Amino acid sequence: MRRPTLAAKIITHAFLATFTIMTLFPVVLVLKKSLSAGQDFAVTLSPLPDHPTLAHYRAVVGHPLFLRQLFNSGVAAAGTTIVGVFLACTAAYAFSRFRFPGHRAGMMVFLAVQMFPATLLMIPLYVLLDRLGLLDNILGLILVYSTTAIPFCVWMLKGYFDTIPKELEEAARIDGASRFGIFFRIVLPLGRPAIAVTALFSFMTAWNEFIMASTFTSKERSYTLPVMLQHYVGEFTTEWGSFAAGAIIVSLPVMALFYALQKNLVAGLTAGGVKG
Amino acid sequence: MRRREIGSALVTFGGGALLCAVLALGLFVRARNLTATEQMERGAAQLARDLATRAVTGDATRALAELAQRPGLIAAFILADAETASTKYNFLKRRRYLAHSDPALKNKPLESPEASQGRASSSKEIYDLVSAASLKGAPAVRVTAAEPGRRAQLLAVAPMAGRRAAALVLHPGSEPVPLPGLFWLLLVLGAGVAAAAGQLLPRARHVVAGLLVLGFAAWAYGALLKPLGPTGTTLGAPILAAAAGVAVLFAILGALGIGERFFAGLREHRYALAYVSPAMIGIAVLVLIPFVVGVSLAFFEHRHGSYSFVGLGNFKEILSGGGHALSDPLNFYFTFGVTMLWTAVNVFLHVTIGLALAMVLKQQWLQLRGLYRVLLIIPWAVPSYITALIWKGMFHQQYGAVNHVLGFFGLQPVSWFSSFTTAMTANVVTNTWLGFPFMMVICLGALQSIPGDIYEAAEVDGASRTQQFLRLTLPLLRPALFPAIINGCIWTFNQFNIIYLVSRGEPGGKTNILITEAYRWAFERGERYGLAAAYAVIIFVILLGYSWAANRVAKGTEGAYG
Repeated sequence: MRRPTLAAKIITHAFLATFTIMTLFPVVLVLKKSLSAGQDFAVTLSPLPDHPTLAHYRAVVGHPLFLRQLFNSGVAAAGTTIVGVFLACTAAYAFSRFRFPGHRAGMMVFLAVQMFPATLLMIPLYVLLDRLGLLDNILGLILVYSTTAIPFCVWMLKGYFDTIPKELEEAARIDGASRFGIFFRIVLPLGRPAIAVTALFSFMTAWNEFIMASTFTSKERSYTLPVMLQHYVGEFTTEWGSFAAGAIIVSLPVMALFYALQKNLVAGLTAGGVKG
Repeated sequence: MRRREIGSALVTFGGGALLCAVLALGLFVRARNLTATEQMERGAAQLARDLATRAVTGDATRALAELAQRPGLIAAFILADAETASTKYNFLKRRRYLAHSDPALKNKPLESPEASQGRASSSKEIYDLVSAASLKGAPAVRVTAAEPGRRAQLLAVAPMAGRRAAALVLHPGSEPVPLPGLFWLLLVLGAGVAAAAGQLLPRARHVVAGLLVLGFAAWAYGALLKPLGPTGTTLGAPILAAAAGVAVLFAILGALGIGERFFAGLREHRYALAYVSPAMIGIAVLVLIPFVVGVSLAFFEHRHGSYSFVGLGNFKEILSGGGHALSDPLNFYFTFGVTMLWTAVNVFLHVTIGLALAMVLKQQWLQLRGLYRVLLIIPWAVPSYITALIWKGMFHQQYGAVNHVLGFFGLQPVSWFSSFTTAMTANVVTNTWLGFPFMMVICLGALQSIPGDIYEAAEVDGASRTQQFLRLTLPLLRPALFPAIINGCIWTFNQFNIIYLVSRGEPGGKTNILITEAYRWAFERGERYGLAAAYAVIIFVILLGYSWAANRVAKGTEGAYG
């Protein structure tokens, strides 16, 4: 490995610092707005809030239905993660290891459904959930979100399972492990990094989704947080203060997850390692 | 051997017979109920109009009270509530009962299940009817289909003056007509005859099956629907078309021997299927069914709550440019060009920025690597609609941060959404901010999995940095980067939130991409669901062709790098 010169180090840091500041600018702006008094989006370049106050946070959290909506968002996201990851793991393993009729077609279906614009599945989905009595229901949201998450998860996990050497499984089979034993004792533990990313992705899909949620819920009690948040940004007047505070509350759990899973995130997206 | 053949023939024809049964059942019940209720329709429309007239003249309470006396009839006034109306999703406007023959429901929203109490139809149906009535300014009447546990119902809605409210009459409708036993007998006989024919003509049996399905549908059309007059004809055409499709499908599948191989394969690959089936069933129910419904919609024209079959009419309208000049944003090819530009620019920027940052961040000697990485990932963590709304605010001409920064450097403020170039720039900046972290993480992960000694070896061999990048790094990144780019293109092509929330298509619809254009046809330009669905199908076909080609290219060039 080449030893970098001091100048190279300084240039690299200057480049990264500039880019990071540019990237963080909108986020800092929102953070600042959430802590400043007033609802307007008047902008100054200073990163410090003018007239600092926690009033916006108090207003958003103090809303009588906030806890209920937080619960809805949490259950929808957690449910999607569990359902999506379980289904995607089994399907991805089969696609990676077995050759069966419909193997290629199945993979293509998973790829193809990703391409059909979800926005335009809304009308038929609405009718379907209505018939099943799942409108205004978290279960309905979990089902809808899972189907958005599964195709991506399957593709991603299949790619990772492909990199786990078959020899490991063959050895296990010689040692007398059953097919399901191999799946649970060897493939799943080895696939942990990819599964973590998949779970994170499913969680984010559900937590960040808003068009479907606002379509399939009509009562404030069954809103998720993004739908609640959207209501602060009206057609003509926008409560930027409340919106900023709400945006930060909604984004926090996802960002916390990023910190917790950062290592796995990178490792999981790596199509390399046989290291285990 | 013989038994297996009989079995497979039965399986093939069982499928055909089942399809016939489902088709005929719906057809028959629907047709009979229609005739029975055609008379009531007129009566109910009259009632609704009366009610609306009396409501306008201030006689509403008495009109309601009188109607409440008549058993089975429900009457109500519906009001579109401006405060809770959703401006974005027209079809989800909150509506309330201004008055109801059941006083408890006064001021209750239309959506609440209490409002229906199992008697009334679903709020979506009522809503469609209210929209239809207020659009055309005349009573709209509709018969809902009978279902298990729910009777066919008659809904009539008349608009009131001002068109913000409507009067609704619900008629209990009549019981569904049961199927005659003869029908089942015919069906079983038909399946038997088909199976026997299949045994005699083994190679032709699938064609026979296809023809039988077609023949049955044609017979049902002639015998059951034609006598009904215009209603029967509009109902029959799409059903006949669907049956013809099924018939052709059967013939093709059968001729190729796919049916038999399919069932043999089921036994052989039961382990694989055990793993795949849960995900497949989930996908089938929640993606494929709406998908099929969505695709079918493309062949219909939706006007005021009722659908009529137009064949390929929607596609013709779109692909011929719909009579708009090529420079008109309503022209399909204009929007398509914008979409391609949008996708190419964004994905190029995502990959370039992501790769550049990853190349810098992979250096082992760099301090604070983790911190940079965590900070640069933040845009990915922020939900895209929040991103869009923040940037929309930042591009505001007067208060926006972007113009403030420009002013700081002594530049004139820009009115971002009044020209195509600046509006598109605003969209692209927003989407680039949103999208580069994903590519960065992908590149970073792939780069870290490349063992360092390869570079050491290359250096010993005298390879320059550029050579190392072009000959080592890029080829080794391919397996991770290629799928990411293919997916990135698809996501960007369908990036709804940014375009819809940031530029809103301004100026004059020029910055719309195909997906927002489709959405606007569905929800902002007169509920043309059929046309919107046709747009969706076209988008789908484009992306399917693209990813097929991209995968071919990926496969074809794989060998070049060993």
